[in-house]
Amino acid sequence: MDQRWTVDDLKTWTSALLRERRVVAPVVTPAGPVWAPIRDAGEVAWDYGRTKVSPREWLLPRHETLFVYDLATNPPQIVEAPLDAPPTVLLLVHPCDVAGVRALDAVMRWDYIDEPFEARRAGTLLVALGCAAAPSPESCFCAAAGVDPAWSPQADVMISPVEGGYTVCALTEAGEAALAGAPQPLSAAPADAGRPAPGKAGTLPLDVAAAAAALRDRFDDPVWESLSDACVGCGTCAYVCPSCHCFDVVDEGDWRRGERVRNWDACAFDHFTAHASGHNPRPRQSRRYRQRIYHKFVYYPDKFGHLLCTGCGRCVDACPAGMDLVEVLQVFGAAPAGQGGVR
Amino acid sequence: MSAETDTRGAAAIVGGEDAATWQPRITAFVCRWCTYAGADLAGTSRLKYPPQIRLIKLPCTGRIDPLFLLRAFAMGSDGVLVSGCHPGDCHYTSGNYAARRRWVMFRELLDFVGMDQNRIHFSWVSAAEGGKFVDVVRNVTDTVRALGPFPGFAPAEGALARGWATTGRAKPAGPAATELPGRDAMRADLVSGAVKAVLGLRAGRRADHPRAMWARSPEEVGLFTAADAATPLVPLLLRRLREEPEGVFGIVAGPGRREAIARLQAEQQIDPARVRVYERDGAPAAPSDEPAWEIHGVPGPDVPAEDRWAFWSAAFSRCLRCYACREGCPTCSCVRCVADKTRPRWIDSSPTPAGNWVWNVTRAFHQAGRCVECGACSDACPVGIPLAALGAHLNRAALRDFGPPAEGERRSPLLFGRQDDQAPFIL
Repeated sequence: MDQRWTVDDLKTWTSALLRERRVVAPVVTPAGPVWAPIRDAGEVAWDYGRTKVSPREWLLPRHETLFVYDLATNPPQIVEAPLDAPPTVLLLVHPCDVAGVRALDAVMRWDYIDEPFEARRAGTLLVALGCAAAPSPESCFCAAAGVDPAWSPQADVMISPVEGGYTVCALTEAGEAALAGAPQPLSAAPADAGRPAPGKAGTLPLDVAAAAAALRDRFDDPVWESLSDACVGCGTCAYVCPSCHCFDVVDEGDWRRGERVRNWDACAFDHFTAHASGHNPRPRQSRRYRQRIYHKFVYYPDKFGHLLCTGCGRCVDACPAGMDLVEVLQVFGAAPAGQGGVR
Repeated sequence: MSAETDTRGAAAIVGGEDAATWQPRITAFVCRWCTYAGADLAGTSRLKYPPQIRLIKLPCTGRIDPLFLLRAFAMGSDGVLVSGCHPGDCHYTSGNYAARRRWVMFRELLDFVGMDQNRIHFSWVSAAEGGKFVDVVRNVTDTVRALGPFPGFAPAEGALARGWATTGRAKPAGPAATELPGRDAMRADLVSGAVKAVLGLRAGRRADHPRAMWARSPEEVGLFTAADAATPLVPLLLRRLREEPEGVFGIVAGPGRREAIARLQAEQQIDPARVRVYERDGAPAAPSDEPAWEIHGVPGPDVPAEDRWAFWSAAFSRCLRCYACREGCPTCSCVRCVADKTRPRWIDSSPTPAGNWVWNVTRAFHQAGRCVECGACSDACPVGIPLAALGAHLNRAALRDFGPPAEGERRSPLLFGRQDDQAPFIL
């Protein structure tokens, strides 16, 4: 018999975590649930559905100062910005967003270690919350994208909603340490943990593997024209995404003094690939949209062995033009090459 | 103003930080023909005035973009003065008339978002008024000194995480259509090659999410849905016209989209010969008489300015700078947005409180009196900032202060001015 935790047990544990660490959790605002540091366990939205913007900004902030420069002094001064990386608990992260963290990990620890990211990542305890049902049944497709909606192998602690409460598992040593003195006993992993199957927990049953395979031969397929020509280039898809990680490094200031910062960027922007010469290798918006799909389902998997899409469905719901990633995957997952007339 | 004068001006703004010896930093933007000459006269006449003011000389008040004022605050000014030739005296005939209208609208916008009006001052000072220049500078310096340092754009602690309350109502939908008119004409035009493609809405996979679609064949016209949605079709049309410099493109447009297209044509952003409009019913474009704050559920004038400031600074601080508001907006039509310009960089590209504040207020100001109130900016915003309230409010203010436009007039009301425009706040 598994040990059931109640919401009160979770609150007690969260209060204990709060004494030693910053806790970032979903809190309810009039604009919907958002990720924010909490001061009290009572602020946590335990059943929050899905946030509009993913929690990745707590590992890769939308804005970060790398160093401050002052060239007006002699000699010129360059001072590295102090790292803002307090020990943090990311509380109640759904499996799709935990999978997003895995995608960030792969990139940021790839050819060199991204120090600011690494400092935050190393100090972060990932507490996952499984989904008993898809928070957005018309756009969630994590199980088809290889993510088990009920289980997060990369998390430190796994909280699973079950009949009459929650079960809690420690998946790593850090998770075990954080659960020392927990108000209720821990559970073991269920037998089917980490086995995603399309349609699980009410997510959309797509054949993402077939679509990803089909994409390889259909870069110039005429169907792209109709799939991509409604993109307005707003970049919202990338900004809400848990796994998008492109950033722009800019100097804010002038030639005398200022700071070098990095901010989120998006492949949907026309100046994302614009050269100083004026040439733009992706001159049309439809090409930029296609790039996004190929990066997620072809280029990144080739390099890192897993998709750069976690099936969270945020981009589907956020797009002001109604662009639908699920439709793209349906088109490529179903129609054979050269017959992509489906709209 | 070049980047160099910009940085010199900012670097020159220095003042003590100690509370007891604190002095305000005031940046003045003045025209070279009148107020700068007036300041010169004050100097050659040996008149004394407080030294906390730094003058930046521009050719004409008509060239003083309100963005300069926001930039001054973002760079550490505590107060701003803008001054130029008296009405009727403009060296360039009418630059100050256009400037006056901009000041009226800019103050209206700043007041709406709760900024303290006592930090921003406007005056007419002629080349002969050295004495008046001294009086204005004393007056402004004393007022700003009494207010203390500008607190910056960051929201109060806790406000960011807790969000902000809006009680906005859904935009009233147009009459529910059961059939889309004009399908035959679209098919005929596509067959004859009169149009290369027609932009409209097709039913999406999900019932309530129609998606934009370019129909390129008569068969595809059949996919268009009769249902309407706030999907940003006009920006898509504009993008296509710019990406493909040849050919005629069609668009299915109700009254709101037709108004946006007409406005872009009046502003010479769309060549009428390259667009064919297939009319349909839909939500009307005309703004209602209802105050913007009631429609959009944001703080109105009955709310104290500090609370309006708290509301909007918290809302703007959530901004991710994805610019979805801009890309979804039918009247945000610049080929290269001021936010993307880097020489000089007028608006910090970073989503800092100051950068966000300057960006969102600047974008709203650029729609002043031009907004078609489609609500696309609010719809597109992934963090839910009620941006549509700003454009709607400025539309009503422009109507109140400048009167209804002449029949068929679709120029921005801020591009020109009239002798009898009222601006009692100008010193």
